[in-house]
Amino acid sequence: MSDLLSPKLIPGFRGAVETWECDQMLHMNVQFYMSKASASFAHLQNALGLTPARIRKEKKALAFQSLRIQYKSEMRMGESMHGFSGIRSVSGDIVTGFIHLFDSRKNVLSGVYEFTARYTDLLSGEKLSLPAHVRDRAAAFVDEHSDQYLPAPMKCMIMPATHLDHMFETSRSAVDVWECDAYSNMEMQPIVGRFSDAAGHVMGRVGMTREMQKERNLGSAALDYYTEFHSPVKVATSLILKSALLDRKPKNFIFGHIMINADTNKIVSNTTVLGCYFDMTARKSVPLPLEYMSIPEEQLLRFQLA
Amino acid sequence: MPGYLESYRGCVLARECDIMGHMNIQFYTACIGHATTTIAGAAGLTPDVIQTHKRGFAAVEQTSKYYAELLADDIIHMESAIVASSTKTLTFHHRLFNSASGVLSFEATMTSAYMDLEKRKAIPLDHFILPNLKNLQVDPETAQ
Repeated sequence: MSDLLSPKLIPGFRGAVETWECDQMLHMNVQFYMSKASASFAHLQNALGLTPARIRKEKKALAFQSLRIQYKSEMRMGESMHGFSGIRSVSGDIVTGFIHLFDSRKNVLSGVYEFTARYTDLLSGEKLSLPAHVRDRAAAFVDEHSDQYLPAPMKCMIMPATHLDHMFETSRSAVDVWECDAYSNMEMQPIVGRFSDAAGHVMGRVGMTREMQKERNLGSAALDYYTEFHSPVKVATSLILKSALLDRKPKNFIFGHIMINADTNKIVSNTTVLGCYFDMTARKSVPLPLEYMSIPEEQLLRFQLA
Repeated sequence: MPGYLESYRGCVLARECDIMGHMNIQFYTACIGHATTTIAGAAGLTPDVIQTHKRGFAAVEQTSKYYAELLADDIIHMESAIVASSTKTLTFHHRLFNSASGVLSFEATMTSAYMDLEKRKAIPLDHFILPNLKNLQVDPETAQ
């Protein structure tokens, strides 16, 4: 039962925004967009012949290599969402596609995920060649989907997978069993959750505490993410996030994060987050607080990347 | 055309599975929660209306049947319709399918009372709900 306009679109998540998925900004937290997008990705894999039964048997599936995420309209508690996904191209062993999540009542695009994915051994994390049966199925779905939204490249410098001066620890944790899939890999939702939690620490370092935000009736929101994944994160892994202000614009902050396996000191993923402050009553973006402008230029990560 | 509408689509997470290795029953009910939001919205009870008019539904009776277990990573979807109504209640029928196999995994019939959320009392269905119901109703015989 589907209202999709194209047979090359694959039905994805449909359901509600739970009250407990909404954060202090009174909208759904980014990690729960991710859980809904992940559900859509499972349906996409099934359409490509990677059925749940096959994945359980072979323990191999597509895994994200990169994710560009945009949050285009906020979702409030009790709202309904639905989505679909599509394949834009298959090049070599890289599958490129998208997942869209809509506010069902307004029929407005709310969450956008542009991804690249590789066929991966879910136990070892080894990248594998795309099997012929998946390639054939994917070919039947490939379409530019020119009628579907495609984000322009991010208008800022991208955080590379490297340690930089001025980055500081914004999260230290272990990966819990309940954060993992059936193959002991950390799910996407808690990964995005870690980046979300880190934001408050970067803001605090800039000089904007939660209390100041509250006094000024300000909320903050992520608008645009770009993440690269370098290796799976296994259960019980000790994780450290290091972050800093990458850049600033009149209405946007840009944070750079690296997620590090503390046992190996290897960077498992790197993320660029562009966000804004908004008036909590009007729900409209406002100029970046002056505290951001007082940060010396040489302390911006951009300064080291120029 | 009256009939079932897709009310939920998702997948089974590893953390939703119990010591039996299959999805625990509490998460079937979570699917119904999502589905009820969808079908109630289609009936006109959107979050805005809930906030403005202080109206809502409360489950008063549920009958469930489990047909086939669901395992971690299974993809699922639910279809829902209205099979009965009274002055103050609607009875929903929810069917949960394994999306990969098409096999019916679970069904539930749930009667919900229409509520005034300030008085916390069941009340007659409002005029802005009633016209929407016919498009969501199915013959109870076909719901079995």
